[in-house]
Amino acid sequence: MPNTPPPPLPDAARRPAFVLRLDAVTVARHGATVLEGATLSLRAGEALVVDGAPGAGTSTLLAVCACALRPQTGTVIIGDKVVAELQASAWPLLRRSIGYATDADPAWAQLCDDETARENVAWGAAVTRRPVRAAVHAAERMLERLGASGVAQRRVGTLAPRERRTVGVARALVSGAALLVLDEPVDAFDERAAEKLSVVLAEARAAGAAVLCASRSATLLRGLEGAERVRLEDGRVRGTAPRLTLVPPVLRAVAPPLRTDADADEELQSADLLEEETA
Amino acid sequence: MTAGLWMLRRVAREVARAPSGLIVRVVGFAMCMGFLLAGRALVATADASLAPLLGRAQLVVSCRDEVSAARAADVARDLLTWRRVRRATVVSGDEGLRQLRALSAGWPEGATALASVEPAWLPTAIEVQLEESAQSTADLIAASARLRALPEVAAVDIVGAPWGELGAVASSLRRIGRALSVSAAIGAFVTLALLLGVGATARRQAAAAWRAVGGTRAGAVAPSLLLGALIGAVGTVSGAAALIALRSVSEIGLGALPSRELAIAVGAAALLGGLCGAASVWRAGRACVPG
Repeated sequence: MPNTPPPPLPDAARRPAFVLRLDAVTVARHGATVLEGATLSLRAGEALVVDGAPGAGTSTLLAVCACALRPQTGTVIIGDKVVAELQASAWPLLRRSIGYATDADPAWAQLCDDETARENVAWGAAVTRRPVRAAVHAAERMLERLGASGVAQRRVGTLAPRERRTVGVARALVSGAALLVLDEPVDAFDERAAEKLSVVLAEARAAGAAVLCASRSATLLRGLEGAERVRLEDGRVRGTAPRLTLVPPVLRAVAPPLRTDADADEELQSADLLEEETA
Repeated sequence: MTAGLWMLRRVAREVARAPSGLIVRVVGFAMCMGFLLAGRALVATADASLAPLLGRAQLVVSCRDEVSAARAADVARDLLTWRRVRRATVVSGDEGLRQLRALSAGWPEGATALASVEPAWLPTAIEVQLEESAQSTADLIAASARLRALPEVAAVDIVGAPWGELGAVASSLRRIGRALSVSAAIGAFVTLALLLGVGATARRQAAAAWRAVGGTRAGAVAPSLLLGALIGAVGTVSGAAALIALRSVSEIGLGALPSRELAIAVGAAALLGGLCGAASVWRAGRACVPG
């Protein structure tokens, strides 16, 4: 009997699973709506850059994606877990699957000022049950890769904002989380830092991590190869990217509330068929 | 195993981070517990060491002639419901006479005098013994006056009272011991309040950071709990050690503290310290668990 190769897998089987899905998420703070009807999804290995003027709701969107902020309405799904339905005991596991670094709100950043930068980063690795020595080594290595080895032994409370931000980014990256949410991880004009971070992010994506990033650094954005972009204006998603199933608020009324893997794959197959027919 | 090592590392780092704050807390705890133990030791000394020398006071209540033995028994039962009355025993006239004769056995003149006494000569009496905490002169006199006010009572005699200088010393020791205990309890309360406050912000921040990266609440609270327990235990042992050292130097008789009470004090202080430490960070990092 001839050794025939197996038939090619359908697209649905080849496509990675969703890591993050948002559907019609609305956030209001102090009586004002800062994010309205945000709907997006992100698969393993994909990257999405969120762009927007200050006050457009970028940080809020990222905080919602990182589960640091609970939306008033809408659904957030991390992996296969609906965040609003999670029991308190399931939160630690959820947190371990998200690497979040932000400068927008100290309460979201949650760094320990009295500890050294190395220890803060090592805690990110510690919760994944990594031994002390291995976690500390991983922390040192990550800080070094991000060009911050000089601050490893300094207390976070004594660091400059830029260094503090790097510590947060290193902590988010060191745990090998499935979803990386980075809110302005580097200065807009710090090209060296952006280059270093690009390399680390490329490796993380290759390992299957999904990256959601807000940045004004052209170098970093260039480094996020193949990333889709979406623009926020006054809390509304304005830009769309065809492969990322972003649904503008105006279309959300007629669109299904949240597309599942199967829905998305069906659409892709339909699109392929349409292309073939057109050809 | 890994989680335990991380916890120990975090405790060690916290100790290394703010050694002065830790020393202040341990010394504060040691002083409070030292005073508490000293107060307890003084009271124990007064009660245990001096009591055999002083004897125990007793009130002998002589009933009126017309009071029957049954009525006296009712009065005795009623007396047992009084505060600080430990024992009330009815002694009939015959029994009293028998006791008197036994006491005067070595005294021929007394025995001769008692031989001619009629059996019903002595009235029924009630022997009342107060609790050890009510053995002071003032307490005995107050109880005596109250007993005398009863319609069945003809006279009240105080027997074996700790009169004199020794009794006064015993009462003073008890009073000082109680004052020390009360002030130490207040001090311990203040120290616990400080324990909650000192470094709490840093501890809460560390706990929140731990939870933000996916640590459990138990993992966030454990270092503070362990540190609080250590402060409580070490503080109490230090206080007891200071007390023992003081005793060996001055020999002022503070050795009456039982080792069992000391062990209980150490355990209780460790428990309290641990609970205080845990309580100070229990709600930290709630933002990490919005659910």
